[in-house]
Amino acid sequence: MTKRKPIESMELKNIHFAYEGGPNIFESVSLVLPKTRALWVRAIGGRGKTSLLKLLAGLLSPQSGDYYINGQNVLEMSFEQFLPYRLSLGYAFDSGGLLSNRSLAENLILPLLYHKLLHPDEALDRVQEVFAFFGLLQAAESRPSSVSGSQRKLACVIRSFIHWPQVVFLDDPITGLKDDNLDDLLHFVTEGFSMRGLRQVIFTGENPDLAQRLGADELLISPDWFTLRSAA
Amino acid sequence: MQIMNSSVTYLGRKFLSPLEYTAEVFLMIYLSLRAAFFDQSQGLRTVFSVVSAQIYFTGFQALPLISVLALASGSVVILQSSTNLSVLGGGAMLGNLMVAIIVRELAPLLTALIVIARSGTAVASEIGNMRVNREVEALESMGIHPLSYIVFPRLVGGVVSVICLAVYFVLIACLGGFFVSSLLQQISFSYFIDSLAQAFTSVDAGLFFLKNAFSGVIIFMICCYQGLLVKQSPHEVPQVTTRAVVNSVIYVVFFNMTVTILFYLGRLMSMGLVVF
Repeated sequence: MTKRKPIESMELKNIHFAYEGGPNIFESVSLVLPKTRALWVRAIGGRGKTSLLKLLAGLLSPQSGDYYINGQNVLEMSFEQFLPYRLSLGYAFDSGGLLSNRSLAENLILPLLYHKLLHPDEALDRVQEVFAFFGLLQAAESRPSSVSGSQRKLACVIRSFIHWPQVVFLDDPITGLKDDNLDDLLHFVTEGFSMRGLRQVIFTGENPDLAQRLGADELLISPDWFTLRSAA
Repeated sequence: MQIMNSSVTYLGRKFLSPLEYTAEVFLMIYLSLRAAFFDQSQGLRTVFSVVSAQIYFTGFQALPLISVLALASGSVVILQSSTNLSVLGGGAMLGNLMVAIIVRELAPLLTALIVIARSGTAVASEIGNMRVNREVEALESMGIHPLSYIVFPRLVGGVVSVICLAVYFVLIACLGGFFVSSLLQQISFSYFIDSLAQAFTSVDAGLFFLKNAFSGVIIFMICCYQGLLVKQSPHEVPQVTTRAVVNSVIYVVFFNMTVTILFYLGRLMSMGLVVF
């Protein structure tokens, strides 16, 4: 079992990033991630919201620059060395991301069993409990292709919380969700903050609902600067 | 002069690009083995479930097709050779012929081609679709190394399947060969088996194992590699699948031919017919 490492600080330094053959997304930008509970990342479409989330989650590597977690440059780490930090992070994709040859329940239980974070019976109990909370029990044994889009999206969002990480990145979590799912999600996140060791939720999206209800600070991004705007 | 320079550059690129491709595939083999070795989380149970699924799809489900092809190959080899050799009194060479043609050449090559057509395409398109659907990224986000979770079990399952299928091919081809030879020359089963046993040596076993094991590695590494090359668009999936098939066929045929040439060169050298 790999032990997860607590995350104290996250900092990007002089990051330069572009997709292959595409324009520059970030040009030598730096960011010390504020320790606020909820952070709403905003930008004009295609200006790097998803890229920023993926960079912070360690799913993308910049062309140049450094990324420090707890003062350690994680870009110099191997997959195995970064794993303890990764287990303290959760990530939900804006679309896709569920393993298509596994049921929704198997998708959620996979990280718990793979990293032996829980005993198999406990893991199953946790997944069923979460599915029951979100009213997804009936779809638990179905594969992603045979459930509705909102159920797929919800399962993907829930999976990012299933191992109760410290920091969760949600890429456009609201689009495609039903209104009552949003209420459940807010309740779930609030419970995470108070009881499950969740410290920060960083999310993107056009809809201000989640940001308002979580009292999120805003992070505005452009290719060469980041601006932080407090919720107050 | 400029035309000559550009021609040299063109030829250089043409020569280097297969080398570069081969190096990248070898790098992926190394990285997937390394990832599987260093992956403390991935238990044997997880690997075994994917390996067994791969053996079921690649090995077990290919048995009917292999049976037909092996039966036909064994029968045709005996039919052709008996007809031609009987004139020269070469009935006693049936075992040698079966070993030289079926065991050393046809079984490894035809098995590999069937596996490429059935499973290589499936693996390349499955992994390609996983890339499009962000499943590979999702695995990474969950702390699961894609090379250790996706590539390594497919490689192990694929190699085991190819070896088992080739053994099965040889058995069925021998059966087909026996039926034909018993019809044409009234040869008994014990005589046929004895003839095969005398012809089959440990060198043949080594050659057979080498060809099939490496063909398995080549097919599944190239197909996994091509699948992982998909970036984000679904239209890339059929393209990488086609490229996976073409490259696998080229590399497998090239490998089999090289091993055969080296084998016969060694034989000729040991007989003193070729001296370097």
